[in-house]
Amino acid sequence: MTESRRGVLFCCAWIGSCLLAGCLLWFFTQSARTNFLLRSANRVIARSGDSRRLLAADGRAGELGTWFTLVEVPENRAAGGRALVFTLMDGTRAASCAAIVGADKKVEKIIPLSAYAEMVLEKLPEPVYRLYVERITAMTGRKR
Amino acid sequence: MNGQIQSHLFWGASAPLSSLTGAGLLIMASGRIDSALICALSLAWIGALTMFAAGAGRKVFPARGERAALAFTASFTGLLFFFALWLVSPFAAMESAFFIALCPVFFLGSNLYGRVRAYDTAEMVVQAVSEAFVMGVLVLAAALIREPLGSGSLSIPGWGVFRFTGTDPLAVLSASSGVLLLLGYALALYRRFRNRYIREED
Repeated sequence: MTESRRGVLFCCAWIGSCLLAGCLLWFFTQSARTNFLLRSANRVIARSGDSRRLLAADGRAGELGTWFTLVEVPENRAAGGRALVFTLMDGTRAASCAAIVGADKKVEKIIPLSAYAEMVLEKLPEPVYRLYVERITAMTGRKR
Repeated sequence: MNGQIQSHLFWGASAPLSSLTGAGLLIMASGRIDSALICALSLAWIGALTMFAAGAGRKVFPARGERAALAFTASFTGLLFFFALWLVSPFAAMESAFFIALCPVFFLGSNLYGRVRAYDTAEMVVQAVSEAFVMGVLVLAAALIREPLGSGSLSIPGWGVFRFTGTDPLAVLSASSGVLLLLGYALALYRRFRNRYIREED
């Protein structure tokens, strides 16, 4: 085998290893990442005074973020709705938010998940807010 | 050693500021102070780990596929940083995902490996961290102007967001157009001082 062919093979193996390691890492840490997100989001939702909590990831990740099922506390009964944890973009500003979607598949409210997100949401232009609400509503309609 | 390797870390023609890919990173990461710090950490992490891998594998890397291998290595280390940040704060990771993805692009655009490949591995890592520090300082300086003036707040990691006004004093600065204005002034100053520095050096 020539030197250059060996080099090309080594490069392909290196790139393949990077891709494989990245994919395995992404796949095997999916549930751990979702649990971290769920716990952090529940802490914020509890502080906001809402009686509902995120229970578990609901199916595959959506276009905007991750869907979760909701439960009422302290009874722990199904709340009938879903929540989408996503990143809202306003220009260069990114804000992590949770959209609470009721049983009627309409967005009830969008909760900011960080202090910065709270500030961004306060100053968010109404059309941008409505755009996100419409988009999430449309996604809810499409969801199985 | 060629002229590129001797290029000054801040004033030289091959310095991070000369890299156009840095402009995108500057726009995205300088909106707030905590983002600027995450960006600096991300650059240092990606630079150091990629340089370490490249230094260790230098003898077996072929000359032709080297850049492709480096691109994938930098992207992989960027992914590792994203996971590490997610474990610390998922919301910070979500809000920083876009510019963390830009960090490997900036790293490759600055052609650091091409300039330091003659060094040994430890020196390569030190050089990567030094360049990350310079870029981090630039992003932080822009954030220190943009956030208080553009949003009327200061976001300190671990402390939250301090708001000292309910309105945006200079709202244009918090938008992308504002950072481009700021970048224009910064580049004018940079060139002026760089020219003076080069003349003094001569």
